[in-house]
Amino acid sequence: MKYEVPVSDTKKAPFDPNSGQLIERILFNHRLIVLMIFTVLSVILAWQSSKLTINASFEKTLPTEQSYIKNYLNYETELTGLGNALRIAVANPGGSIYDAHYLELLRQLSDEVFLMPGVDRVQMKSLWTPSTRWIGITEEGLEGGPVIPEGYDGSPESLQQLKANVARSGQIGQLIAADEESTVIYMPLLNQDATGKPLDYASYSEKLEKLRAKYQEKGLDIHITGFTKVMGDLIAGVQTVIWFFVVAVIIATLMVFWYTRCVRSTGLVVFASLLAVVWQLGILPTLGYDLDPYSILVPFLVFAIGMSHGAQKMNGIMQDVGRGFDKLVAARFTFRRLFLAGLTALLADAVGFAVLLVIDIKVIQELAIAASIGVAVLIFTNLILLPILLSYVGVSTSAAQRSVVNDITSDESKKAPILWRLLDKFTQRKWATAALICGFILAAGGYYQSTYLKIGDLDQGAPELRKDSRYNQDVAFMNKHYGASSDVLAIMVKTPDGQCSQYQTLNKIDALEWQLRQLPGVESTNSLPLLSRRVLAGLNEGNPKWYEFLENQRMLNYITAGAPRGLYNNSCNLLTIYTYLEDHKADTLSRIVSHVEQFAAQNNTDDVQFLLAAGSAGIQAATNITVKEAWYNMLFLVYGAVIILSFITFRSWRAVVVAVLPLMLTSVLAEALMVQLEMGVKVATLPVIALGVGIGIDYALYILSITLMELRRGSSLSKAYLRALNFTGKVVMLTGITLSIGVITWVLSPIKFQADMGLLLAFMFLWNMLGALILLPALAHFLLKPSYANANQQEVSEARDQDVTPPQTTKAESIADASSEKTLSDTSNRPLSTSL
Amino acid sequence: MKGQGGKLGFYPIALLLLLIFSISKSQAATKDAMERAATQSDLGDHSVLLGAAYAGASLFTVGERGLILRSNDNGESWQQVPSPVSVTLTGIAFSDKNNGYAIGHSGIVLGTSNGGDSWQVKLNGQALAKQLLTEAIDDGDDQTIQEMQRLVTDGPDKPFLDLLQLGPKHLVVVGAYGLAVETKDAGKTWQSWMGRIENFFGYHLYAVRKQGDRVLIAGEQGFIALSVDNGQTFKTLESPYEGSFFTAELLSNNDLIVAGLRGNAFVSHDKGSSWEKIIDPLPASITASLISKNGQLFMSNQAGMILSLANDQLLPINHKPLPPLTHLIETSKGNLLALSISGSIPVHIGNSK
Repeated sequence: MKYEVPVSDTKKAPFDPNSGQLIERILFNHRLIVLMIFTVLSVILAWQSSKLTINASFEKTLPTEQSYIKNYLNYETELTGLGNALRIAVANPGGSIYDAHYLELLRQLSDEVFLMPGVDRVQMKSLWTPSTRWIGITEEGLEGGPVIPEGYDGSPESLQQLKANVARSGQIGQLIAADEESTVIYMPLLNQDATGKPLDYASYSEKLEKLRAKYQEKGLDIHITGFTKVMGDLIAGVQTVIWFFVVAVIIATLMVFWYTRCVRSTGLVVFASLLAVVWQLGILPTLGYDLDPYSILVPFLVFAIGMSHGAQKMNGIMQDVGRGFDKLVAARFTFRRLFLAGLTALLADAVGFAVLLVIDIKVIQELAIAASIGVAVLIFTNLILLPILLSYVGVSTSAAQRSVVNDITSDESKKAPILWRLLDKFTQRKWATAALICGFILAAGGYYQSTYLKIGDLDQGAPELRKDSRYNQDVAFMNKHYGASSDVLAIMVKTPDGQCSQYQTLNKIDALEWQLRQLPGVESTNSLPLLSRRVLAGLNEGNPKWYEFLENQRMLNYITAGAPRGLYNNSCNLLTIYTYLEDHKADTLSRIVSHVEQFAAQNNTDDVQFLLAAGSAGIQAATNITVKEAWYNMLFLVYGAVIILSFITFRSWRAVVVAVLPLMLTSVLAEALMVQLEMGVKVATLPVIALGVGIGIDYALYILSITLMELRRGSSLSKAYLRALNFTGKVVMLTGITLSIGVITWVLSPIKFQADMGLLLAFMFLWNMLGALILLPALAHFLLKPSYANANQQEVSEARDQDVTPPQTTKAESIADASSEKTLSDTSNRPLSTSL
Repeated sequence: MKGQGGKLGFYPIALLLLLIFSISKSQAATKDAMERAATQSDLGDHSVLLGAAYAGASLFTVGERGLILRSNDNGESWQQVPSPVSVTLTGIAFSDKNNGYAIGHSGIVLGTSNGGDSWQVKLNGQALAKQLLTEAIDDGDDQTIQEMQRLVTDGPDKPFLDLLQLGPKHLVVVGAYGLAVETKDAGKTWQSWMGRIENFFGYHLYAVRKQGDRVLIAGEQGFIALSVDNGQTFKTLESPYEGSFFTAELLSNNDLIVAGLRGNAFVSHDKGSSWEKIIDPLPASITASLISKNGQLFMSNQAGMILSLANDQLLPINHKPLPPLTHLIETSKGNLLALSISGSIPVHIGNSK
């Protein structure tokens, strides 16, 4: 907080170490002990932070209380068809797969994959595994053999034979691409390796990358898809985020240095903010949490918030030092003035985070917890440790002097910096009207845009990763050459034990499946009755006239017995209908989900129930439902919290409107921006609005509290606003810019949702700042100047004259205190309890 | 009075509500395919299509899931026509532009008398089995009675596989397990042909053709039966092949042709006494055949090839294989329309040879 203390009384009086509140005396009269405690804690937490693991957990992104997810988790182990499997497409860039050199390399790769740990070797399939067979219909029945002909020797004859076998294997489009230029190694993975350890995505992904490098060097094109690879790439991506952190630290340091021009104090602020990050990272593993790609946002935020609060502290001390105080006394004065203000600001930020706890998605809750921890830590490192450290280190004299010289003790606008004078114009009718009209047009346009806001992920491929990432290119390759969509929505059909092949049930599935295929967005489907159609034709010598789901229980039992697991489970009480989708857009998903819901309502019996949903798209559908609900709930809660907070602070509905409207404009524009950037509301973007609004209200609190103070004293709005700018304008700008920079580096993240979060947050931090500096005075012009200020002026000043203790000291009060002309002892005499 | 009136008014409403409720409930749950109207679908022309016929200028095709499609531009575009069933329909025929029949699984025969605008169920497997049992009891032959009783207990799981329309109300249908029935009154009554055809093992009958007084039936495991008296009596012929025949043709020069599994095709120049093998370069099953207006014989196979017969030899007319083919029809423009497991494919025969 940049505000000069009128020092005429205290400047020359000897400083009483027993003055100030209890907490100040405890801290500053035992500085060494406090420092030692901080040092010990820091060492312990730094040690703890080395135990922190970065993990990407799929389960944590699920809304576990959502009914579809409950169904899914209930049957997860039974859904073998959705097991964790990798697909390695091996392409021959030179031409077709009927090439001896290609086939030899494929054999080597297939063998290597076979020997990798954690592979379900029985189920593994490639052109070279003996389980890949061809089948032909003869007069006597069926004949068949391995696709690789016996005695294969790479000769043109045996390649010709291979080609013939492939043609009758039914594997074209499955293991062999339609253009016969690539084949797939299907690699199902066990959940645990031989030693019983769960699969380590990161190291498995690394092994796969080594294989890829090795065989690409030999001239093959390798494409790998599968859940394990997504997670591996995700973890690898998270690890690059550390560099963004370094960049953010450097830029924020430069910002603060530009603001203070003092190496010593800039260093201290950076140190304190980094220490806060270390503490936070140390506390997480101590409490049993790890860092995931979502909560990795938090250290950035903590650092940025720490930097802006630290800068305020330092600024106060600088001014006091500049006015000739000893560094210890200056530190204590600053602590007195700013501890409560800082505390309230940090608690307000915490409200924004706390709202996220209502969302029933674990990654978001953990983000909220991590952020709360981070904010709590900042209270110690930046509000307590930093002033104590500054009391030892002090600031550079030249910088301290400059801070006083630059200080504007007069409210006369002519002496104000040009930017302030420009902003001050928004308190006048012409500019205020223009600003509000602009704001209104933006709001209207933004609202119109925001009606196109979609729920869920909109891009193809793995939504976690960028569209042009290696992984999503591989997915595109698979989709193009194998026609197999990676977006699967599975419907589970529960039957009594052993009853999964009952005609009545299968008949319903057969009907539902055909209905689903009619829906736009459904590419293909699979189910037991569909298999039964194919098998029946096969059993009748391949005659297509037998392509039918036959009402013949014996035949259905026979076909079921030979059907692959995945269409039904081992105890024959669960069937799975797979729908393969063009995309996982919310419209596509909700179309399918609502159709299935309707069908289930009509066809469910006590014994047979159609349950949603499994598969990547099924989980996405469930998440979309939760996220959509949470989106409105969260907006409601965060705005509710902010409105209550500002009402307590300002005790005026008009002021609340002035503070909250610019935030709402930012929210609307953020939604419009999401539409423009084709970002949907999803797990990653959900917390952003809460964070943006929760932190965004800070600006309004800083500026409006001083403005109101001045208005109550009878100043004109222009004067009041200019004074507010003088006291807090620079800090508001510094905060806005540091916070934006803290997150904008994320845009470069290889992880798509991190980039989205970074961009949105940066936008909100900046735009909230502009809103507070431009729209706030404009709104104040219409809402605060004539009626509120004048009407209350008398009353307020009377109250001040009598120096009645305010009924409740709030954030604005604390800030106002800091800027009030009361003597320091007045402020310090106020008991701590009333302040909280 | 007032109260009584109110009471009286209540009961009809309650009954009505009950009725509506029970109707809506019974409609809601999924019925069997033979009682379930076909789902309206945009995928008709990408589905398994199995039979086609002209009704005047309109071309109709049928296929899986009760699909009946109509085209007014010789198969370039298709519109689905409402169908009362969802079973796989295997064949369709028209005697004129108004009267036609479609056959399919579950012993389904559909009829239309308005050019295919609407279709009614003329027969289903249950009704057929009962009628055949009654007929057998009337005849008093114990073995037939037993067989027909089994047909009743099996339920409607047997498909009709081919049809022969002899007049607006006259239809012959053959199917699985030797099923062969005839109606002369547009499906009001049905007469069994099964007593006339010697089919001891109950082989599936895949094809029935008529030319003049001759009727030729071909089927599973080399089954061939020929009638020279308009279908009154049949003689089961000695087969040149133990594999199944999926199609048959009667040529105007009295030649008989049968074709089927693994590209096996035979011709008889002596009314079925002896057979000569037709050379087929491809070992893929022949699923359909067609004699064009100018007398050219075409066959289609499961490898997606269309073959043309010349000098007892089949030659493919397309270079790139199409999807597995199921049926052939000559369009009124003189081209071929091939049906496949994934829709219809126009084939220009101008560039054949």
